[in-house]
Amino acid sequence: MTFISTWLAVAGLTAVSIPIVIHLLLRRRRQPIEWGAMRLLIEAVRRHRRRARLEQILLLTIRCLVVLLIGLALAEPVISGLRSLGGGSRLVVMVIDDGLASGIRNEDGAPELDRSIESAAELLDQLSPGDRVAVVTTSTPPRMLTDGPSVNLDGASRIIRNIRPSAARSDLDGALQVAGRILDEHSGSSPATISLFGSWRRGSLLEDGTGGDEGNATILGGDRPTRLLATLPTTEPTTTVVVSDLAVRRPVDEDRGEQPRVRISVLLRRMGSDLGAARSLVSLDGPGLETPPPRQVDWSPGRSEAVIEFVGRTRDVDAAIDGTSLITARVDDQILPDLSNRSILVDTSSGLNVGIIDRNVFTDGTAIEDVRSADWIERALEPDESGMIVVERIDPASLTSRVLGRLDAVVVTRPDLLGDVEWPLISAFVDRGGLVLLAPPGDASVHTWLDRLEPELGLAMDVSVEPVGSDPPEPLAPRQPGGSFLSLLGTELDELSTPIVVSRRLQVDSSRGEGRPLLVTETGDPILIAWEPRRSRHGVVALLTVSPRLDWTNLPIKPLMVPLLQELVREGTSTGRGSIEVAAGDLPTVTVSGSRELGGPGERSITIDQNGRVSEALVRNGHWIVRDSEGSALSTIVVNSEVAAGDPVTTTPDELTSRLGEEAGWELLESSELAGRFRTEESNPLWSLILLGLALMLLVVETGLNRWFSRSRSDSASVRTGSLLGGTGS
Amino acid sequence: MAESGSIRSEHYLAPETLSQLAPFEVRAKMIVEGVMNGMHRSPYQGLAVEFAQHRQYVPGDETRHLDWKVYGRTDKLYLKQYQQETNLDVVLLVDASGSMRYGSLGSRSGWGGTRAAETSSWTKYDHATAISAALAHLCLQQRDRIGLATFTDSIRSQVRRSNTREQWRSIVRILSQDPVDSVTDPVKVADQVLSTVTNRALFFMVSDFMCDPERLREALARFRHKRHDVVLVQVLDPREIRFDLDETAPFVGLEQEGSVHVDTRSVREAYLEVLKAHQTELNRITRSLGFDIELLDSSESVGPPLARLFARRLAVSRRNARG
Repeated sequence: MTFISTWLAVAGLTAVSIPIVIHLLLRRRRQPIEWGAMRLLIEAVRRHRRRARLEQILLLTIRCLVVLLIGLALAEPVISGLRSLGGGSRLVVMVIDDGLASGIRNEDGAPELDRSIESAAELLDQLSPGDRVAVVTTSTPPRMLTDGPSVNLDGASRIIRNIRPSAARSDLDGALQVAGRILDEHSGSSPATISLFGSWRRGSLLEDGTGGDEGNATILGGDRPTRLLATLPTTEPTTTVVVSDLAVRRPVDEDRGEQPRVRISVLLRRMGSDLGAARSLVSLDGPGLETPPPRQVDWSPGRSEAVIEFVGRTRDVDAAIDGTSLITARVDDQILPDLSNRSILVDTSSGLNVGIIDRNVFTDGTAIEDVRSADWIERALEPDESGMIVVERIDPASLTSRVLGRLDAVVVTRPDLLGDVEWPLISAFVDRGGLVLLAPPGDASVHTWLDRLEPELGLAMDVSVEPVGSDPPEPLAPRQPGGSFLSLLGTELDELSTPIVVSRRLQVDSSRGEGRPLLVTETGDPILIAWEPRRSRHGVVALLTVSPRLDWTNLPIKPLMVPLLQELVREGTSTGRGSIEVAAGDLPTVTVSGSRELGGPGERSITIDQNGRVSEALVRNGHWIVRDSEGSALSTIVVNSEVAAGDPVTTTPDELTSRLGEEAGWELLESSELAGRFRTEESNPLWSLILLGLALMLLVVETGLNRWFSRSRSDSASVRTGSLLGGTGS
Repeated sequence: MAESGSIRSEHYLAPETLSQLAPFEVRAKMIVEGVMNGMHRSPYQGLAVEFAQHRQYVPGDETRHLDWKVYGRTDKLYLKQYQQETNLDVVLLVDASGSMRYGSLGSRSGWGGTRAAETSSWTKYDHATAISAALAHLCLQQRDRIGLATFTDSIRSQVRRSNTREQWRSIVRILSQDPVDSVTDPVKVADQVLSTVTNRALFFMVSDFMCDPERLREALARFRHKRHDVVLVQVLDPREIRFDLDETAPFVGLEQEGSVHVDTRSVREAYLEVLKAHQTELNRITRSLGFDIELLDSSESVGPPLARLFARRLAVSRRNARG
């Protein structure tokens, strides 16, 4: 509870004693009086009553007016506050845009959010004691910062001033839904207002695709008197250069015997209204990379995008977790810091152990047509002795969990030889995060092992157990899906896929399940399908619908074979380990077993529940370390902002109104004008003086009337007393 | 309470009261019958010792009353008329009802009073006893027979008429009784008193007369019917006369009238109006019956108002004698 003035409250409490004292004094004097001439007194009281009632009503009215006027004079600020809205406390939901675009710096280097905060604080200053305030932020996920609508305006002010720009996008619709729920739960019959504060650049008005009017629909529901106010969009133009994307490709022709070279493409984008000539400096850094020299970008007028290619070698660093390491690209633009750098995880592990499950057959194999699929795969994965992948041949009969325990990936070229003992081992291997690549045995005409995939590995798909042939052989599609597993191949994937033809393959329809085709034929039939990890499956399962033999496809003798298998194994094992990249504001699910905590930038710590869900959104860019209950690092999560959410292009009031919903009746105002809508009539000493003067005047009137009534009685009574004493006798 | 042995005249007869009363004689306005020689005119003219007046002789008059000396000097026949001196029967009727217990004054030394020794207040009853004692003393000095009756709604106590030396003490002893909480019924009292007084007498009714004036009129009419003379001595407390209180309090009646909450300042005017109306009605009633009434303020000396009363009555008596 707060008081306008403490001394006034104390005075009020003290004044309570006045009527008590008067009551006690009067009670003491009100002892019954014995009276002789009672008959006359009763008659006098009866006569007096009628006239006295009128006098008392008049005096009582005047006295009440005096008290009322004094009360009004003292309470004038509060009364005027109530008067401005027709009485009752007000509920104000302040929605402040703290999304990525709010972090755009002005000429002074301060984020535009500060301006919104000042506007919100100015509004707070206009509120009166008793008004309730709730503060909602728009950054993903939208949330209410106050503990419900609060009458503690000072506390709300402190909360507002502690808001910092988020790296996450603005979710305006979500924020309005939160505001609507607050109104539903707390507004009652109080006049309610939703006030939006922001610069409203294009990035803040992004729609999330879930229906932009949901927030408005929530607010407009019901019959409450809700005012909808928003600050006008800023008109200050600005331009920023951001790291829009960061792609790491591993060149196919990388040198053997050295640390792998990576080709890093940094996509720069200029956003804003002034795309004049400019210059930017781009740099790369990261513990897993031999840092290349910075590159300069000269922007010609109107140019909005630039791709800077860096070529460097990765380093096998101790700091790498599960074989991945962080690489960050930076641009020397400080307009929007969260978009001036971008990070990516790169597999920098020095070696992977891959097991090829096949029966040991001792043949000379001199003819190329006789080379078995396992041999092609081994050669692709381990082209020479200095390769980063170490291949181990495993006979299905000798497959044990101990053997699988030392492997990162398993390529099963003879799945038909796996029995009831081996399939559970393979399933457990996937559960632990391993990569399993299945390839059909080349000699089989019926592939009944396919029936084991759904029950053993949970791979839902429609597949024919007999392979289909193509004559002439079917080429691969000129543009391949690729996907995250082959992303490092970049556009080279399409080029390398061109000479590939398929003469025999398994007919698979993976649309029923969650498998994603990575390579497809010209007709769209998948050649390579991957199932990314789900919570129940931590590892990755991939299926080749062709046996890597020349009687099925020419893939083994084409340049794609080596990078295809190497990247599949590298990325597949990396994904299975749990290192992922997410957008700021996301609530990712961590798939690594035993993960309990996320440690992020600024010593932030977020808990992970048993289902892998993090307890709060990751709203700070950078890398977050997944740790187990003992604090050991398990994997890495990289958080980057969405580029579109930082779009600094200004919007027009019409665009803002359209975005908010024209039918909702939003009122767009300048910041000062918006605060003015809440301005209560300031405590005007003149009003108080006038009221006190009126009270004083009435007091004089009351005193005069009281005396007049008494005097008239006394005068006439005196006359009567005199005549009484002198008028007796016969 | 004053015992009989310790009763002193100054308790009831303030010296100032007696000094103011001394020049006057108590005379009844009407001629009363007396069995003893006194200062009052007898209806038996011609037989008594005191010459009254002459009148012309008319045929039929007794010749023995002719004044021959006048006839010798003037050659005209006049009759000598005489006036017999008689004794006066005086009855004091003192109101001892509850309302007489009211008093707002502190007692005064030498004023006497029935409860002065007990309480610090001088009540209307105290003043009534002082008046009664003074009247009794005065009458006894004139050798008039005097009796006493205290009453409320009936006769409470009485002293038979007498002019002995012990009569005054007897009267004062009765007056020493406390008033009781009861109402006044003047009609009933009149009936009881008149049943014991056969000869014509002068009644001093000492009371506050806080009763229904109509009932009082009925009572006085009975006295008038018996051809008695009545002097109403009304005793009121100064607070009752002026009502100059500044209280807001419940007022409780002394004669079971109940209670009423009163703001005295606001009611004062109405009260005085009612009091004035009441007094006017009392005056009208007494005048209509040919009686006297005198209002005495209990804060003032008894003498001056009584002296004023007697002077007025003497003037009336002489006017009647001339007429």
